[in-house]
Amino acid sequence: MSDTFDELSARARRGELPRPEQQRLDTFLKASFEARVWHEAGRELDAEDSVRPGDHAAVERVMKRTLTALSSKPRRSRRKWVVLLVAAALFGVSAAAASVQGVRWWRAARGLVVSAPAAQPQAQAKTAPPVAQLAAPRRVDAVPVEVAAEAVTDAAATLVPSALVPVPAVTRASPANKTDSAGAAALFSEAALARREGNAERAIALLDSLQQRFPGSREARSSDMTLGSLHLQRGAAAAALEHFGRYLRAAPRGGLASEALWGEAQALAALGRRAEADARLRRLVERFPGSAYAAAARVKLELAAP
Amino acid sequence: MLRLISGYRRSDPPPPDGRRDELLELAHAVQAGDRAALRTFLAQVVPHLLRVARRVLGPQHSDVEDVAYEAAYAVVEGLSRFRGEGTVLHFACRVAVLTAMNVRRRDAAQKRARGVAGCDPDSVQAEARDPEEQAVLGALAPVVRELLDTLPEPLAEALALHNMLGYTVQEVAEQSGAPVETVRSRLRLAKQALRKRVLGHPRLREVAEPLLREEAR
Repeated sequence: MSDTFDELSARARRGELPRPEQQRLDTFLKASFEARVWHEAGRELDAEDSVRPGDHAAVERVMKRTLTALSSKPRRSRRKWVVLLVAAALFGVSAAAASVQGVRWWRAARGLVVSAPAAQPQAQAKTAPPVAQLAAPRRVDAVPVEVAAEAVTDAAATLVPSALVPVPAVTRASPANKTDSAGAAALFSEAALARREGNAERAIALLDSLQQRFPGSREARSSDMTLGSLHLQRGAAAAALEHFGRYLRAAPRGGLASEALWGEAQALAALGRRAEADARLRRLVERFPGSAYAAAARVKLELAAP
Repeated sequence: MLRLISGYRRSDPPPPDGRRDELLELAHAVQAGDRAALRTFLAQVVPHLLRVARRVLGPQHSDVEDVAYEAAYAVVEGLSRFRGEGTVLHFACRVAVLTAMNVRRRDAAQKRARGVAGCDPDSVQAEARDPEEQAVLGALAPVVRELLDTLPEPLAEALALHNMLGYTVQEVAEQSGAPVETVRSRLRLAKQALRKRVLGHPRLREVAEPLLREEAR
């Protein structure tokens, strides 16, 4: 399969093709106009894929819109299912209870009840004769719906076997972790807001605080990228380099790894360490040939070539 | 039973290339309603959605950001349908491809309604950035984009995933839920359509003539 033109073309565009396979691809390209056009079109699309000024702001705008839209939409939560299940269980239990009462009444009406169950309290046996049990369902009909519902709930609280009580879904984090997560998220959001408002200093302070208070959180890891960009914009290349590097150490193949390598290259170039900057660009092209930053890195490397 | 309904978590399927899917855990957390995870997930995915929207619509299209937003929303909403075919990122990119293709088709329908031909060589040239580049097969990207508007949807999807995003045939098959051989067949038809379109384009045909002669030999 791997020797077909389609595979070779896709892998060549990712920079994953060893020499013998590259030769096979060249043969395909020489022999077929169709293949040549197809491959060239793909390469042209790859080359077009450079990073654009304002991309970061565009990403933030899209994120904000998505978060707003998702939060305004009523969530089909798991709680809904749990409530439905509880309601179904309660219904089943009350139906069972009612049928037991019905049987008792039927037996009593026919004079079949010989004695109350041994466990039944004496007083109750005295005040609740079989006839009263007969009347009970009728009285319930007359009770307002809210009160009836309360009564059912109370009854269910004692009647529902523990096996039917819904166990909370497996929690992914302890309460303390949840608090941490919420705190980290709040700081992250606040920093994003400060950044959008152009207050880089405050954004940096908030993100630094986030990293100190919640060092293991996802937000802390992502904030390295934001801190790197902010420091780079402010000319603090050494600090930017540290943050991009930290992100890469934590997530060498993370979703933003190509961007982090690009950031490292920029920071190194700003520090005058050209050779290291070029090495980062080459690493970026090698590891993420299809990424948005690889095309820009190739152009930079070509320009830097003697 | 409760776990089946509410707390259900698939075991993490290994991605096809054997690497760990970085976004899978985040996606699970998003599905479980973790708001912080949602933010992080979007921060990781949205740059890719923007890139895909740009590829399919063209870099200068005014709807790139809107498409990225619509795709981001659809990805989060559709995570429950993700069954581990390929990676979460591939799933997200496919959603963006389909969203962007819808926009292209809508635009094309509007153009047709206004009486403008689907393939307008002038508009192709207007999209090209550099006339010299265009002269050496530099106008292929707009031609591929236009092709998306005219091909039947399964073919257009295969074209977009394979040629525009550079997915392998296997990855296209996983994402589109079609057998590998079907994908190959769709790609073959898409290639033929691209050839036809290039040869129908006066300037591209001029550039292509030597290549055609080479092929004939």
